[in-house]
Amino acid sequence: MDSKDRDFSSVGIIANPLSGKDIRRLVASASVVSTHMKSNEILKLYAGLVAYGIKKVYVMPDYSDISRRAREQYSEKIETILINTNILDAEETTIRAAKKMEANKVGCIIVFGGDGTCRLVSKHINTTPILPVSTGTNNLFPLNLEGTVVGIAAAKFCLLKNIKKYCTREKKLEIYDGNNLIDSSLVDVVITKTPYIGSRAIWDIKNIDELFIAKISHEGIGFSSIGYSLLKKDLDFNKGIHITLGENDYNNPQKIMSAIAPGKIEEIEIQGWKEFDNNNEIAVKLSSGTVALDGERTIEFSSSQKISVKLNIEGPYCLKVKEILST
Amino acid sequence: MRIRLFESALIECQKLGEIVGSLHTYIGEEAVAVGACVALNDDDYIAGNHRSHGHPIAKGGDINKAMAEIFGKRDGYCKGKGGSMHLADFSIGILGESGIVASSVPVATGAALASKLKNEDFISLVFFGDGASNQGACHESMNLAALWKLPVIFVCENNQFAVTTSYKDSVSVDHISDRASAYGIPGVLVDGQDALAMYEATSEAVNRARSGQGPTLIEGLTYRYEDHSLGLASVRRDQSYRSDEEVEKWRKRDPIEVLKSNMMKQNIITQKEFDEIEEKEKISVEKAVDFARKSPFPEPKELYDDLFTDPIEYA
Repeated sequence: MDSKDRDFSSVGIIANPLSGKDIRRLVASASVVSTHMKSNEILKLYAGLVAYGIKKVYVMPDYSDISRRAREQYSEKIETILINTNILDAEETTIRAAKKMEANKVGCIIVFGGDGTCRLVSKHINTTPILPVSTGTNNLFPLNLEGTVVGIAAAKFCLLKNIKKYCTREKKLEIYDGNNLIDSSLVDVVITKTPYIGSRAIWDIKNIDELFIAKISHEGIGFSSIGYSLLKKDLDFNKGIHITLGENDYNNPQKIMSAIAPGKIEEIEIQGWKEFDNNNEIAVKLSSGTVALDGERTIEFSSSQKISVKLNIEGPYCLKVKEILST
Repeated sequence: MRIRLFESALIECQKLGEIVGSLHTYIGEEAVAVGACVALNDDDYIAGNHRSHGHPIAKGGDINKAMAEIFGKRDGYCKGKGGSMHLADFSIGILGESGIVASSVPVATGAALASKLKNEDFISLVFFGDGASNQGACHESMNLAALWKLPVIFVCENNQFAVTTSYKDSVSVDHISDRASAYGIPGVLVDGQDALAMYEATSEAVNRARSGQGPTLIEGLTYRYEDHSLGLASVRRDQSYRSDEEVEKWRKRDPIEVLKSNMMKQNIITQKEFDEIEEKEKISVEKAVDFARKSPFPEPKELYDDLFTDPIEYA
């Protein structure tokens, strides 16, 4: 990936105003992530960007105007351009903002949100590196970083101007309907028996049939934690893990304990599991239900569709924060 | 569908001069009431507000009695003396509504307190608006309900305008559900145009309330298609209030269409079956209008009947 044609004097900021507010505050012990907190993180982010010489910031607008305090405080030191998305607080806002930031060739896009927000951004950009920062629930993909550090890391990355050295390429899971690629996720794909999207989040293990996981961690929670409970080590980069839940045919049923949501630990019966390779396409067993991508029911499917999942190691470019900060 | 047709019929009757006084229609917000009430038992209580025709209908109320009440007729829920904001039916848990903004919130909280003190199983749920969320009665109720772990569900129908004032200009936080953390209770932001999302959130809140874990605040983000009310001095739409484009945008995510499309996608219903349901409901609403028209007005001498309980009888 070439760093030459990128405008490293600018960065993009996408902060999801709706992250950290869904039903998991009710069905699990997830905390509300307030808009004030997000606004504070952006204020600190600006401090880091300004300190290391970023001149221009492209920001996704939102009804709450999360970036207002930062824009006002640093108006003389950095130019902020609110992207005209024509629509606010919708998935489409994120998509349009991400596309425009890529078109403007920003040095990187800083994404405040959860796994779902990162999924949406990475789906609609090609080569722009991202710095994903957690303000959601059950996050595994974005990092838990303080706003000032985020600003310093993003700005130093822009000074270094070397995507190849200071970015890592993440993997993704692709969802196909027949031969058509219809969506993708960064952490996990959960096949649920629930026939509708409803409140999007998933929390009831009884409704889960299969899981496809690209990323696991010893410190992760959410459905991907089932993968770590089984494998007991990190996944190789070019591997995914496929798990089928439910009673198995053997006399020795495999049951594990896993933290599927904040404060929610379940005993889960595993019918079977195996690792799978890059480009290996696996058909979903259920004939109808919903596909949850990175924790959110996103696709309803019926018997007329043939849903399958494939691992692709050519996912988004993400900043290597530790390496950048150590320069 | 029943709520939509009921409200549409009311608008027509109001234009004909058959209904006097103010009329606040619920069109556009139906998924909030339907999703929430489906999660309740018959003996659970609900309380409403000034925009509350949809709530008793969603709870299973009798549309003949509701229509007659709004017409001010003797066969109405409150014998025609309550009108649009007083559709009470204790037999199916409808505590009634009130035109005083936020006043039903402590009423529902009181019902939940009664359930707890009497060691009963019923819970209560109150619908209130974004404007009401700023009232002291609302805060006081949530505080005590949280403190006493009362089985009450606070459903804020954030239709985004208190008369013509945007909630963005009057609410100090960006989402009313954010306030729940101040009371130490769960707060959830839900797509109020999606009845299934409302049902899921309310079901979980019901489980929580019934198992003694206390109250929940649910914010259903929704939109009213009509202006604040019919019958009052006309509240005109202008640029400082909301644009036609904004209304149109919300109409494109109509709650009936959202549910219908989902059910058709899942092969639960066909267009033909949907049309049949719509036709059946149209007929029942027409009958309700006819019922209301034929019902007599209460006599002047009945004015004070049913207004007061005899305090001596209960002494």
